[in-house]
Parts: sequence; structure tokens; C-alpha cells
Amino acid sequence: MKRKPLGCFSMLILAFLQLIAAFGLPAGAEAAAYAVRQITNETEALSNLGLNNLGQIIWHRDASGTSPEAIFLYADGASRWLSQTDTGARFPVLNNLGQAVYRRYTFSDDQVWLYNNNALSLAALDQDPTLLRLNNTGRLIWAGRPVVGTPTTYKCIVANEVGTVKLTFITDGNTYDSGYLALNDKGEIAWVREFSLGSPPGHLSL
Amino acid sequence: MPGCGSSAWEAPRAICLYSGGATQEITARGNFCGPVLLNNQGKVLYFGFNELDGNFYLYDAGSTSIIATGTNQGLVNPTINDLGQIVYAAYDNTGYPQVFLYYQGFTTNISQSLKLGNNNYPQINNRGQVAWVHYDDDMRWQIVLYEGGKVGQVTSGYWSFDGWTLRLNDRGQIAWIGKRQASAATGQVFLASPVDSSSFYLLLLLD
Repeated sequence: MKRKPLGCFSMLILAFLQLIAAFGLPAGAEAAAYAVRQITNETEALSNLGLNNLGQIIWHRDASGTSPEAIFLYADGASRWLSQTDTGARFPVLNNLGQAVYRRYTFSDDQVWLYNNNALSLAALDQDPTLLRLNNTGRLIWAGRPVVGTPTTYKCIVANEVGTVKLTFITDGNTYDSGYLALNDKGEIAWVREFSLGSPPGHLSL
Repeated sequence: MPGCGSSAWEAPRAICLYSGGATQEITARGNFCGPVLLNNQGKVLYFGFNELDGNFYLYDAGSTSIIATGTNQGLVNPTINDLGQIVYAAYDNTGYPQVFLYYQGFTTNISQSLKLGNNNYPQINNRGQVAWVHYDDDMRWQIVLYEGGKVGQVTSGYWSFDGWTLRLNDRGQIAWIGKRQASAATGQVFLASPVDSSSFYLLLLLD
């Protein structure tokens, strides 16, 4: 629909309002046209914030009393407790498809959980999954020890496609990533390799 | 030269890239501490030391260039978008942390004249917008947005920011965890969304 052009009076009003908006701002800055909305009203600490191009937000909430630590997702104007049936949920990651993954600690093992199409599913079991990365095509990678018995000092970079249980080992155990891991939408991966960890138990594929 | 992997008791490190089903070391084994970032064009941004100083390096299709140098300048917190634009925080000549934008061989201080605190994590999106936190003239923290050569202030009044966790998406929306009152016990999640200017000034009047 064609917009009616502003009249002289309207333009004068707009210029006046712009003057009001700019008044009191620090030197070098102008007012930006933004509306700020408070999403939560929590009493526990929040962390691990993620925002995607759909305007969805994901975060971690600390445990409180009998309430376990939890992952929340804000979408379509409402917040939902994603990890409601889990305990020990941490480190959420959200992509532009609205898919999310997070780590869950248990007494027996650690798990990677996937939220996809309004449903939660177990994406992987791992003894110590860290550095979860989820790209915008649904490829999931992490640094972990998914083979039972792998010494705690050895980690691999492991890839998994959302909706499958196939694991691909990008590295063997001597290529621990030193805390940095990057994944792009083409499925390429970059990391820092450290060379001092000695010979690992080899496991190049499952 | 100090740095990770630079002495006998520190492990040498290399930056690895997995692409097309194969892994290659894109650097010599030496002093690479991270962070490592990778955009959707396959460009790798990483931090490391050469014999002279600490640097941000950019690897692109087999060639590597230094895009920022100077350990004493406090190079920290880089991000890269899919256009290959890179932002990072570093000290300027006056000792204030500033936000720098690198693109195609040129670097610009985009936070010029604005004061910054430590721990700044500037975020860039695929539209070239950059968001970060700075002090205003009343020594209050505010979120600002850089776009098209100009810096606009997104927040006003009292704010504190938990963990400096700004997130900026390609729609220009900004999310963060923070407190709106000094007396607030817990930080909350906030979302700032762009509005057209007529709505914005109406909001200002009603606020």
C-alpha cells in the first residue's frame, strides 16, 4: 500500500521529536530506534544466552531449591521450559532453524539433548561432551569421549547430524582442541590442536 | 616472546581446518592460543604470537594475513561475519578500550569519542551492524549500535550487564542479560528490537 507523504506540520512535529530524542545523549552517539522488552522475571542467575535470526532466545537458569537448573526458550512471544523433564541441563545452543541442543549431566553419563520441531530427543551419549556447536543446517559437533573407557585426557571432535545417530570422528584422541572449536554452515570445522598429549587410544570411526 | 606454546614447557599448537572431508594444519606448529572463529565463507580468524608480537590472523583460501597486532594493545574478543568484516576490542593511544572494525585491509576505530569499560564483547552481524556496551557521559553502561558510520544508543537510564553477553542477530535485534535497577538482585533477559522511527518517537513520549 502506498504511504501518504508527510505534511509540513507532521514533518515539523517529527523534527521536534527528533530533537527531544537526541537531547541528553553522550557526545558521539545518537538515539537508535529500539523498543526494549523484558523477557524473564527470575530469581536465579541466568547465563549462556543465545539469539537466532527468528528472534528466538535461549538461556540457562541456575538451580533453585527443588527446581533444577534448566534451559528456557523464548519463541513467538512466550517462554517455555525446554528441559522440563531433565536435571542438570547446561550449555544450550540455538540455530536459525529454531533447533537447540544442550548438555545434561546425570550420575551415570552425560547426554546431549536436541530440541527440534517442538520435541525433545536424545542426540548422543558421551562421557564428557563440551563445546557444543550447532550450525544452521542442523549439523552438531562437540569435543567429547563417546567411546566408553577413553582416558579422561583424550577428547575427539565428533560430528552428528540432527535426526540421526551416526557419529563421525573428525579427530582422533590426540587432537584435543584446547578449548576452541568453530563450525560453519558448510560443515567446515576449525580448532586449535595441541601436540603434547602423547599417544591416544585410536578410534577414527564407529 | 611470551605466549602459549612458546616455551619448552608449553605444548606447541597449530590451527586445524576440517573441510571437504579432510583435515589440514593451516599454520606451523607454534604459539596459537585461540580464539578460533570460522565464517560461512571458510575464512578462519585466530590469535597467535610470532617472533615480534601477538596478532589476529586471517586465513582465507590458502593465504594468511595479519589484521591486527600488538599484545600491549589488549587485542581481545574478535568476531567475524560472512562478509569478512571483523570487529574486536583493543586499547587506543589514550588507554581506553575501543572497538575496531577491519574490512578488506582497512581498520577503523568505530567507537571513537565514546568511553568503554573493560570486558567488551562487540558483536557484528551479517548486515555490518555492530553492538557493544560503553559508558555514557553519566558513567552509566549503555548498549550502542554502529551502522553505516554512525553510532546510536539503544538503551538509556540505569543498566548493568551480566557477563557482557550481548547477542546481535541479522535482523538487528539485540539480546542480553542485565539489570534495569541497581537494587535488582538478579539479571533478567532483555530483547531490543528495531522499530520504525515514527513508532520509536511515540515510544519515547510514552516512556
